[in-house]
Amino acid sequence: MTGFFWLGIIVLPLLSALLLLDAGKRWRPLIWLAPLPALGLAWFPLEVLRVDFLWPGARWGVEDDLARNWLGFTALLWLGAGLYAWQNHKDDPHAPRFQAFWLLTLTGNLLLLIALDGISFYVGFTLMSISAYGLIIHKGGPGPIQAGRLYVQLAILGEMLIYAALMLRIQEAEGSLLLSDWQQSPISPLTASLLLVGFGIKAGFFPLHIWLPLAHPAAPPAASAVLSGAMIKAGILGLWRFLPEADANLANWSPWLIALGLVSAFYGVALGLLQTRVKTALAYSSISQIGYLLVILGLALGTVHDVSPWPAALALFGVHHGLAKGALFMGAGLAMTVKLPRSAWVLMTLPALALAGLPLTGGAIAKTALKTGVYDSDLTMLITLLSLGSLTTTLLVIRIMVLMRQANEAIANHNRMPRAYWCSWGLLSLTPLLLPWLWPVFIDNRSKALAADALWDQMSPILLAFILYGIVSRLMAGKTLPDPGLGLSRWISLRLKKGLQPAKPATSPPAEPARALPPLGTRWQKQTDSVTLASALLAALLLLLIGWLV
Amino acid sequence: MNFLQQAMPLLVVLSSLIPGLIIFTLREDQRALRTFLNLAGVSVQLVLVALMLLGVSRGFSFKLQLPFIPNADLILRADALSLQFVTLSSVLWLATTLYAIGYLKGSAQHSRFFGYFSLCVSTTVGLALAGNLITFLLFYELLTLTTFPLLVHRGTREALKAGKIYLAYTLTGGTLLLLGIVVLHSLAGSPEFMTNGYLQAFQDDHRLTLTLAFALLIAGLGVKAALFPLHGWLPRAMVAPAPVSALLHAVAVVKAGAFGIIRVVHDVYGISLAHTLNLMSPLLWLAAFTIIFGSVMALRQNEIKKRLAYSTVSQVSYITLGVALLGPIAAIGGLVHLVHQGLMKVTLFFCAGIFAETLHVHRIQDMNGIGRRMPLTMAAFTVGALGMMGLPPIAGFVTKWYLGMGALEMGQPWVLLILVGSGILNALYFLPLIYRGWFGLAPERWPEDTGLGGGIPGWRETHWMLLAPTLFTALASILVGVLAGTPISPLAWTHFIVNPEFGL
Repeated sequence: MTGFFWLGIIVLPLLSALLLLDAGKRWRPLIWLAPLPALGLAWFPLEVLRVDFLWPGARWGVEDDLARNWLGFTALLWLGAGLYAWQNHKDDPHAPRFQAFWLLTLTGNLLLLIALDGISFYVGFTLMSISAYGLIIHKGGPGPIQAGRLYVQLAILGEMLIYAALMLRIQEAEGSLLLSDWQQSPISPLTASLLLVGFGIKAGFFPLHIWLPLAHPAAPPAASAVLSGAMIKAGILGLWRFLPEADANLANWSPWLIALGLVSAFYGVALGLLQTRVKTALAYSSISQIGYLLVILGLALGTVHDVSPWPAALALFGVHHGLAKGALFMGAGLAMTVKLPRSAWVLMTLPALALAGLPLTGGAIAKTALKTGVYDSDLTMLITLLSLGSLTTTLLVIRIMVLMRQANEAIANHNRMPRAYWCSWGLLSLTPLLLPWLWPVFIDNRSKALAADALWDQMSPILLAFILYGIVSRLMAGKTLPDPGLGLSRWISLRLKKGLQPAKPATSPPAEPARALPPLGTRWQKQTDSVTLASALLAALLLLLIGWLV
Repeated sequence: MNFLQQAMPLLVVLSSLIPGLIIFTLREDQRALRTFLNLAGVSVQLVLVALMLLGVSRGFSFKLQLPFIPNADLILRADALSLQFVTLSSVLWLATTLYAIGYLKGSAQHSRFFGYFSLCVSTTVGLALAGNLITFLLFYELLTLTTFPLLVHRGTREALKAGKIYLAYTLTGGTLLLLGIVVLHSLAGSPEFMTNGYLQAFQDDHRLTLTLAFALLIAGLGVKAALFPLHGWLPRAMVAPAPVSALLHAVAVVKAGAFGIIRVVHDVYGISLAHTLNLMSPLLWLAAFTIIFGSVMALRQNEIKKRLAYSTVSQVSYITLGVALLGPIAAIGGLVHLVHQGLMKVTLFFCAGIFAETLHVHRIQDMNGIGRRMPLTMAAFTVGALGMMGLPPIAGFVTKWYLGMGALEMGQPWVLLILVGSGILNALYFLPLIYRGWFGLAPERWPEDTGLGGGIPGWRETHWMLLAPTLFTALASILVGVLAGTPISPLAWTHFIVNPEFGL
């Protein structure tokens, strides 16, 4: 019966929406605590809950380490971002609307993480995708509206593709809804392509990334944090859960996925370096980082025999990137609102360099796990590319830090930073240092990353990047390299909207005065007539009834 | 017990007929009595229906047979399929009655309206309980006659024109249906509907006759089910008052057509005969085309109600599509959509009516920021619209799930493409409304705010009699989706209906 706690973590966020009706606003801050129970369950996972009353075969729970770790970091990130949002939206008249969408999105995100059957996953995924629209366009104005439009168009398209893939997948698994069964059933190329595009839109790897650089700068910082930290990973998780493991056909796809991931990783950096707005640069950094997750996925699909290292690598990478990127987005938001003290800048560099794989951070452990896996496979030439990746990532995070400083110098607000920001953003920024000592999966995998020779391996690309940055920034100065996909998609998105609007009528049609219905109306107004008719009918009915009874 | 079992179906029909007839005799100012009669009728009907549901699920049969014409008795009986439709009708009748009382406050001709309203429900129920084609035809034609006065209730020129077109379409349809039934009657008489049909014996000698009769029947039923190209009356009929549109689109008329198609395919011809005669492919293609066509037409409408009307054209064809696929899973998807579409569409029409009555908002352009003024109504609208798109966990998703699986089961994967396309089109014509409602810039003050119910956003944003039924149906649309796996859900009942048809 303890399994019912799983139901609790889904229902609780929805129930806490009732607090929005509290006119006194006294209890409303409790809303931000909604992810807390999920964090608890990630720590102490209970038995799987059979939710057959939803649909036969619905199962909620966590069965593997990947789900457990991702549930843990997701809940932690939502909690931190929630605290940040509480402070950030204190004076926002539209805060209740933001909170409502926040809770819906959170529910969806948690549901897809604890889903053990395909339908639950899809339900959670949809709820999250659609509700996130409300977060993205929250600030209003042309930028967010344009970003939101593109986002929702792509989200719906992705939704429908996943729906088709879902149907095909149930069919391929001979009617089973369980994700664990799907891991064993072969997949057709059509289903796999539908999944790749459908989930790829959410994950945002190249070339499906087009909504990310628009949506992230448009959304409030807390929303960007969960969007980039937690939600885009749902796309990768979806692929991982829906695709079969050790499938011979899919193994042929592996090189392509790896290539796509690497293109994404480097393309994101190249475009990110050219940005002048912090949050856009951060969005491109997410595109680059999601590329690495796709590389892991590709490697896992290519491994026919022993897939065991890959879930751990996914777990490590997800937790590390989710928390670090969340902290950076919140930090970017801070840098644009309040003059940051020096201590804050020290704190800010932690998640930034952790992304580049700074030794002793969670990032280093995640990257080492990926490299170890690559050593054991037969694609050792990837190692060089991954080291190059560390270098380029460092370049991008330096660029991001520079942009943040520039933005912060223009700020005239010298107020002290509120305590809620220190507790949310500050603590999340510390996580890269804390992970290797506190988070179980990092503790298990840290030995290789902490070896002396590994430290140098991790450090050298970063040092090199600091030397190179001067040259690169001069090369890049003033150059623009428009994202070709972005322009095109913007154009299509707008056409789609305009083309669909029905032509406005020249003038509003004059309201026609209500005229009484002449023949029928007058006749019926005469009470006598209607009484006669109705009585006659009633009598006839009565007669019929009597006739039948007798 | 035996007597009661015979009387039950008749009592259900009478429970709305008698209040209706009495209401005709009331004066305009006898409001309390009229309301009491309405509510008493619907309560009695709900109790009776609940009893029959319980009985049928336990294996009892309820049947009344009276001699009518040679070889064809008047049969009223309750089986699983008819009860699905009857339950939907009476539950939505309750909601719509409340809504209509609130909606028509202050307008004239209440007795006429509510009288016909009750008659309309009683003919719908009779049609659902009809046990053979002749009885079905009788109620089918009566339905046309009882809905017409409701449609033209406003008495405007536009309403009269729409009414004329409605009559032209439905009477022609009725004639075609009559022809089809006559052909079958001369062949096989009009025995009771039975699982797997009663026409198999004629399969070898009368192929052509059977095919012709089928075409006539479908053409006749297709008018009410708004199958392309017979849908023309439906978008015009939206001039009717909102509760009538709601009833028309969710239960009474379009559903009567769809229900008839189900009856003809399952219980007159039977699955195997339909298969042998290859009757279904044209219907399948027609349904698929109508789904897309209705959605594309909906995109081009400016008025909220017109957009909803074309959406009905598209959505009701889901039911036909499910039946035409001739597989058990698809049939479940189609039949359950009878209920799901009803709940969602009634919600949407209720909302459109509330917008029109409270703020005189009729066009999509005027919906900007309406969510700020009427958050609860807009929330209900959002639920209905997202459900229409087939997004989980709302009812529409369950339909799409079963239809998709059913199509794959029958080896027709192209149907998935139709469903995906329809989902995207639904998104294209519903999302702008949701966007405007929640995020559009609201006017300083609403130009034609009637201040119904107090005019305060929240529980008092409009008259409670308008708001309560809307919230009820919106909640129901979510619950039947979320609790689809429970034994009391429409889905579970649909399993109960469909399994015998396929020998499961």
